[in-house]
Amino acid sequence: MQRPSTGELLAGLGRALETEVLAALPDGTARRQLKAAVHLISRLERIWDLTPAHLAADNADIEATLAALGYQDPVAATAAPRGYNDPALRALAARNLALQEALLDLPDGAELQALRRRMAARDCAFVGDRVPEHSA
Amino acid sequence: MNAATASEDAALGARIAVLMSGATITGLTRVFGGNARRAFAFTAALPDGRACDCIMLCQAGGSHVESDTADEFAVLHALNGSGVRAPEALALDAGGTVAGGPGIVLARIGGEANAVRFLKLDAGTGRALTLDLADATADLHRFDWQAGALARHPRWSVADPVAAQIEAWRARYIEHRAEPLPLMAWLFDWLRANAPRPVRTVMVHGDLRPGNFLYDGAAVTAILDWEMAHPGDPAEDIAWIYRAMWSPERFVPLAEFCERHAARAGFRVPPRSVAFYRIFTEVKFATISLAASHAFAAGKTANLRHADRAAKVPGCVAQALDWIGQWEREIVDAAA
Repeated sequence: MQRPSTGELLAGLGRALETEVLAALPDGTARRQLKAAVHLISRLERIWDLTPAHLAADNADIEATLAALGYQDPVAATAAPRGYNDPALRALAARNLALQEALLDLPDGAELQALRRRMAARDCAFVGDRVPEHSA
Repeated sequence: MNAATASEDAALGARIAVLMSGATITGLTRVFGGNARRAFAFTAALPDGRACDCIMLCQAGGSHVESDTADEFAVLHALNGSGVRAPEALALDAGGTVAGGPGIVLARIGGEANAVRFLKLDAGTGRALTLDLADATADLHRFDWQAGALARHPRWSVADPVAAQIEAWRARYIEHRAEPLPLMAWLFDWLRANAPRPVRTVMVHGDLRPGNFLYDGAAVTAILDWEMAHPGDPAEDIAWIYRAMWSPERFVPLAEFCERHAARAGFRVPPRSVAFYRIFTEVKFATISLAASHAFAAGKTANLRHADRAAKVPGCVAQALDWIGQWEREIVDAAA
């Protein structure tokens, strides 16, 4: 365990930038840039540790739906995505890309419609967004 | 202003003078031109004796909206003197000789464009202004663009403008996505399969919303940013104006806006078309967000507002799926 946690660090970083730096900047490009950075840091604070659970749930749901529909399991993604330090998380992300790819161009049906709604709701929760009432 | 900037501005003014056939340029100042353009305000004494307050808009690198300044100039030139509330187009710098990126010189019109202040207006002013926006939108949609040179322009002479728009946005989604996004792929297929035939093929502004029109009091003085104009369904503009992020719904309900538009335009946009284009606008906004995010990731822009724009996509997709559910339920109800 390492304290402060990543979330605590991001919260502190955002708070310090907003109260100490943003408040001191005049209107202009630098202020607009910092405002955007503070907004982004705030979102990262809300979601930084959700990625493993999000990818695992998404992968399991897509795999189960494809299997139920009788489709072959797609092979692992050829290119591992950038931006991951943990090999296990990188593998989950690569698997997610392969599964997304497998969903392209499938003939439509009720199971896929239901999967799409579940995926959309998961994605909204992951980015910290509102889910429309009927999609939840 | 330091000496280097003053010298740079003097050179800029001299290049604008050449572009405007020897006009005399005074009072050149740099002004905010939005996320994708640099802007310069000045007064031009034109060779025909007119003095004109002008603004020059020049494309900056890393725009998240693919556009062609020459196309925008052609649109504005077609609108000159038409009664549509658009700034007069005075000169085109297609090669970017003035400021490095393609640019256009427009007559400067009074008013403010601030979307946040518009949405915070008192109810009475906001209502009057929104109804005037309906009138300005209707004026645009009844403009006979097919009567002039624009009809022969390659971008304006497509056989199926609605399909062309959907496919153009699909191509941008494919170009800019950083992952397959199968939900987006399916939404594009849905749009192609369900697109209504336009009640008439009009000039669609393509980005008509608070922030892209000037207003003074309760009157729209000019519609700005014509770079996404194209032939299409008038419902597209109405749906974009009422996109939740900047919707004037609290001033004027969508149905009343459509009534006002119909009274002025002389034709009625079917509610079903508006419903379709509300779905289209979510897919379009998601695609613009992907392009913005891609531009930042590729180092084409340092604008941090674009860094995380891909996070807007899930909300757009969920909203589109929700409305498609309503669309399908209405079909079932109508058949029952």
